Order: sequence, then structure tokens, then C-alpha cells
Amino acid sequence: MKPWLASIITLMFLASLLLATAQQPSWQIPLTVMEIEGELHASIDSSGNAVVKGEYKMSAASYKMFKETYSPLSTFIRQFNWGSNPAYIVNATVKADDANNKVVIEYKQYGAAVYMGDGKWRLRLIGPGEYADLKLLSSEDNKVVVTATYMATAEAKFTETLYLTLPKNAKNIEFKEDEGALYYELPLPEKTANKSSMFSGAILAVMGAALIVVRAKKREEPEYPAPPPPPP
Amino acid sequence: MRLSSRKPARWLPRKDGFDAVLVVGVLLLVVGIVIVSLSFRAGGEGGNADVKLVAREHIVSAAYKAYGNKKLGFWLAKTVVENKGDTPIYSVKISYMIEGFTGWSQPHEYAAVPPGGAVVDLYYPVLPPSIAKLTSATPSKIVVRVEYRPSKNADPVTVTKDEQITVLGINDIVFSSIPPEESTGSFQDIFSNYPLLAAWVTPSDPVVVRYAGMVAQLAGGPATSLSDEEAIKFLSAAWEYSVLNGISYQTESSAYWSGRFSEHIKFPRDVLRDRSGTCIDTAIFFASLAMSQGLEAYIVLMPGHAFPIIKLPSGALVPIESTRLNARVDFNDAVQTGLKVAQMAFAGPHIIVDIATLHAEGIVPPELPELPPNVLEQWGYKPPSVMQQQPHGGGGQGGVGQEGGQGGQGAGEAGGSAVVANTRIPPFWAIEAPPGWQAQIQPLQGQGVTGGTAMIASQQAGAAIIVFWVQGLDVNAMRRAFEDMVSRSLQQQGGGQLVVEHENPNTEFAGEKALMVAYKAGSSLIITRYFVHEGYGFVVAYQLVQPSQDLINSIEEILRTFQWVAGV
Repeated sequence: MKPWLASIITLMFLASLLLATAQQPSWQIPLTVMEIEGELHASIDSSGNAVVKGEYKMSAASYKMFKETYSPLSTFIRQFNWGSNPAYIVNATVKADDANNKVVIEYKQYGAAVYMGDGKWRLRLIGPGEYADLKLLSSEDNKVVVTATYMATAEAKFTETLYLTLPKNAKNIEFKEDEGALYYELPLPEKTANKSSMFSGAILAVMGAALIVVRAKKREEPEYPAPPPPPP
Repeated sequence: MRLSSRKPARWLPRKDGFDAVLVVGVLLLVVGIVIVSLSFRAGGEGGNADVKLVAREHIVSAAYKAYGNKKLGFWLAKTVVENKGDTPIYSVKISYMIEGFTGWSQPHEYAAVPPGGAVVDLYYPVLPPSIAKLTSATPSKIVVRVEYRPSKNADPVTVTKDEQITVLGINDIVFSSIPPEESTGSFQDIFSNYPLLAAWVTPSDPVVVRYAGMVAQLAGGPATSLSDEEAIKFLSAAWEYSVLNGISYQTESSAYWSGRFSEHIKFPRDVLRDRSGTCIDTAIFFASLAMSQGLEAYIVLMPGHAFPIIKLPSGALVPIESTRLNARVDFNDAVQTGLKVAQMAFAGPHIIVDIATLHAEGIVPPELPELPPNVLEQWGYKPPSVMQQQPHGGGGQGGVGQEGGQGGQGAGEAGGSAVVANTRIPPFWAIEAPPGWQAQIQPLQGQGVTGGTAMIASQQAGAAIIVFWVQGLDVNAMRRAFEDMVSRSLQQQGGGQLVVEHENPNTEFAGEKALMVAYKAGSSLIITRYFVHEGYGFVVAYQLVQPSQDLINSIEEILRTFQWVAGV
């Protein structure tokens, strides 16, 4: 084809463009959103650290997508690591239950609850940069149940039920939905025992008690006289 | 035979003597209790803060505004103060500095940290705008200063830690912020910084807005966010205009000084300046154009590739394979290819970057340098001509492959009935067009060929008039060439075959004897006149999408105004 004749092709294209009635088909690409339900149990100690166990159930298709996204599974657990996560999380484990389309995670989080002064503590339920629709379901004694719904990504919607066990003597528990946090009152632990001294003393005390008990039992045993010799 | 049931306790002292074992046991018990009591009462060893600092390796300058927004979660450094002592530490204050870029931040204060507990503090730096002026990587250091009291009344203790950091140039991004020792190389790990790409999408950049305005002229008006039809027209015109202006896809080496997976990313204005971009550059470019018209746009990342998806007002999603720019295909082809690519993307690991949402959340472009208002013209872009031809490069001396470059491409609208005049490419002619018709005229581009092409069209009328002339060709040669080219064009558009309906060799046009041929092409009607004037073969043709006698009469009225004129 003579090169200069290509101009008219362009011209015809432009003409067709201008004359097009724009009745183009609607190209549709469906965006699949996977829905994941989770249940987390968290125990908060008097120092503000949390031990968390969570279980996430999903549909077969969502589970497949999850496995594909986080393959190998260590890519999921790395999100909890020191350099990646805004929190301080240790001993994180994750188990994938292929038979039940379920993922189970466990970890310990230091500094989950922060001491604010005057006996008040704050426990954030969502991290920085996170958005969730939080609802308080129940609060009894030191046990609180909250639901959280959020889009982790454009394609993943999480609905979590959080079962929180606060320290035993926690009082005046208050849920602040706008902050995504729980507040409670608990005296600041002033001191902990010197563990080594405590164990040493305990061992000595136990040894002493054992000696006393054993000696006391020996004293109580009667001495039976020798029986008379049998008759000839 | 022993008659006693028990062995004599030989080691026991006599019942009536000093019981040493009992005494030892009592002593041990008492001492143990005392020690246990003292371990609780003495207060242990006191508070002992263990400070740990971890910092990101890079700062992406283009997205510097994102770091200071806590809601986005782009923390730059994390400090953990863990109390490994036996009593609380008090009045913990944590502040940060980036050497060479910021001063000390306002300290974050924590009332106390109990023994065994910890506080985790995150640094969200408010970076200065000057950081966006960097054009290459600059080393720096993040320093954290932690002050605390080991007990309530003790004097404050200060601990300082620092970590190296690199501030990237304005066009550079490191796609992952995961430390190498923690990254497994998975797709998610490689693109953990993907939200920062939104900083490169610049729908409000005056350069992009101006270009979008040119596209809108070609489309017959700006795209609205209310009509799929208008949106498609705009996107089609954006594609065609970019093809005509020679914007092309280029590959780029991913080698980078850091040795990490990274890329040099162009802003849309850079793509316009260079007339080229990688897949991600062109994806950002088209996303910016679409968003400048109020449409929503996404960028999809998949292994080794990126492409844009534009959301129409109805919610339909249009993927565009921007690398098809090089093939100079039409918009339909780019979308059809985009569909296939999108299906591949969604079947495997991928990330969808929701630009509008990220912009709304605060990942926004940096302040770019101001450019002259006519910078597009300086870069060789011509606004669609408004009923006047402005050829460049002389008659047919542009050379092969320069079509659509600087030949006065584009179309303009006439405010009222106006004269379309060719006064630069001989032989010179003029025609009157009704209001609202668009026109463009350009010289032919090829070696040793003199001639030109012109198109005057109206979408509203559903008609286009084409004038095509080449020096040295007779009527038959012009007819063969025209039929060949139209047939090829129809094949590419899927518009059926060109069929001769009627021909008349004894007509007249502009004072010259002419061959008139009527063709059918699908449902369209094409009426052509072939003739020769001053040694140039001419084709004057018009195409009607929905032919009617009234429309034919209207076009014939226009053609009757065709006349030869003097050149400039």
C-alpha cells in the first residue's frame, strides 16, 4: 500500500468516528467482592497486652481467592511482622483449614491497651488508617462483644465479631464508636514481684514445710513391741 | 525374721533428744516466707525502658502529602517502648526528626507504661513541599528521641535511636515498603505501596485539562458524567487524538539504583511532553483524562502489566489496553483487547487501584511546576482547527510514519455558516459548510507525492464530505485507489463490503467533467465524484449513515458551493 494513501484510511476512521451514533455496547466487568466472617477472642492483661485468637470463615470461592492471593501462606502472616505491622505483634501463627474454608490466626499484641493516666486505659479496636462500622453488642462485667464490618480491600469485605475479655477488675467500661475504642478503669500495676526472689523463697518454704511434715509423721508412728516367742 | 512391719528409722535421733531435722525444716520455711514477702514489698529492680525503632526504607516524594495523614496509615517510623523492669515507667515522650527535611516533631506523650507492658508509637511526618523538587534519590536519617522517668520522682532519662532512609526523586517509586528480609516476592508484597500510585494521576493539572479540552473539541463537546454516550465519545476521541499525535507505548528497563523492584513513573504531562509512556504511564494518562471529565477511573496492576479501567456513568466498566497505541488501532480494538487483558488479570493475582477513593482519602498529587499556557503548542500539539486548514511540513514531505503528527490534525466547529478554504495545498479551493460542521485539512505525507485530504463532517447531520487530491493521477487511478482504501477501512471497522450501486460518467463538478459513482457500504451510502483539475486527480465524496433524499439534497447544496480560489 502506498504510504500516502494511509492518510485516507485515517480520514475515513475519523469520519466514522464523527458519524458514529455512539451506540457502543456497554462493556461490563463485574468486580467480585468476597465476604469473610470472622470471630476473634482477645484477652487483655493488666499490663495492656492482648492474646488474640481469630477464626475466619469464607465461601469456597473466597477461600480459593484468599489462598491464591496469599500463596504461600507465609505472605499472610508477614503482615503481622515487626517491620510491616503498625502494632507490636509476636508469636503470630496462621492455619488454613482447606476442608472447612477457614483460616485460624493466633498472636500476642503488646501495648494493645494504653494507660492514659488517672487509672484510665484505652483499647483501640481499629488501627490507624483503618475504617470499620463498629457496633457494641453486649457489655457484662469485664466481657465486651463488638461487631466490626469493613472493606479490607476493594474486593474483600470483613464482618468480625470481637469477644473481648478485659482485666478482671476493669470498671466503668465505655465503648466510643466514633473513636473505635474501648475505655476502662483499672489501677496501674505499681510493681510486680521480683520473680527470681519469689521462686527462690517459695522453693525454700516448700522444702522446709516438707521436712516438717515428714518429721511430724515419723514421730506419730507407734513402735510395736516384738511378739512373744511361739509355744514349744 | 523381722516381726516389726517397719524398718527401724535408724537415721532418726532419739525421741527424747534435739530434733535437728525439724529445726531445719522450720528454718527453711520461715526464710522462704520472708524472701517471698520481700520480693513483693521491695519493688523489684525498677522501670527499665527498652526502645526499638523501625523505619521505612524510602520516602516516595510524589506522594509526600500522604505521609502526614494518619488516616491513610502510611507511617514512616514505628517506635516501641517496652518496660522490662518491675515497676512502671512514667511520662514517656517520643519525638522524631528527618535530617535535612524536618525539625523535631511535637512529642507524643504517654502517662505510664506498666511493667511488662509497652507503647507503640507511629510517626506520620508532615513533609515540606520542597521535597517534591527532588529529581533523584537523597539519603537521610530518621531519628527518634524517647524521654521517660524510671520512677515517679526520678530524673528523666533520654534515649535516642536512628535509622537510615532514602528520599526518592519526584518521578520515582518503590512499589514495596516491606523490608527485604520479610518479603517473599509475592505479588502482594511487591506492590504493597500501590495506593501511592494515585499521586501520579493528575486530572486537575492545567496541561491535562487543556489537552482534554482539545479532545473534547474532537468529540464534539466535553464528556459529561451523566451520559454513557458522551463518555464513550470522549474516551474514543481521547484515544484517536492520542494516536494521531503519536503518543506511543514504550518499554522501560526496571533497573533501578536501589536494586529493589521500582519504576520511574511519568506524570501525564510528561507523557504529553515525551509522546510516550510505559504501560503504567499510559494507564495513568488515560485515567487522568477521564477523571478530568468527572468520570471515575481505576488502574489495574497485574504481574508485569498495568492498564486503566474507566467507569461510565451507568456503572459499566471500560478497560483500555493502552499499549495498543503503537498499533494505531481504533478505540474499539483497544477496548476489546482490554477486555481480554482484564479477564486474564482477574483470573490471577491483581490489584485494583481506586483512584477517586484514594484521592478523597488524601493520596493526592504533589504541586507540579507551573508551565506556560501554550506549552502543548510548544510541544507540537495543535488544537483542532476551526474551519481553517493549517498544514505543516509542506506538501507531502512529512515522510512515512508522521501521520497525525503536526499536520493540522483535529477538527473544529464553525460558529456559523463558514468557508472551508484550502489556500496552501494546490490546487486551491473553498466550500461553504453549515454551522456546527467540523473540518480538517492536511497535506498528504509520503515521498514525492503532492496532494491533500480534507474532511468536513457533522455527527448531528450524520454526514461527512471528503475531498482527496493527488498530483498526476487520472480518474481511473483515483477511483481504484479510493475504492481500495475504503474497502480496507470498512474491513477494519467490520462495516461490510463496498458495492457499486450506480455510476454516471457524464456529470460535471466545479467546471470539470466528472465520473459520479454511488456505493453502498452496509447501511451507509457513499456518493463520489472523480475528476481531474490542473493535473491533480480529485475525489469529492460524501458518506451518509442514514441516507434520505432530504439529506442528499442538503449535501448536494453544500457541494454546489465548491469553487476554485487563489492561494495565499
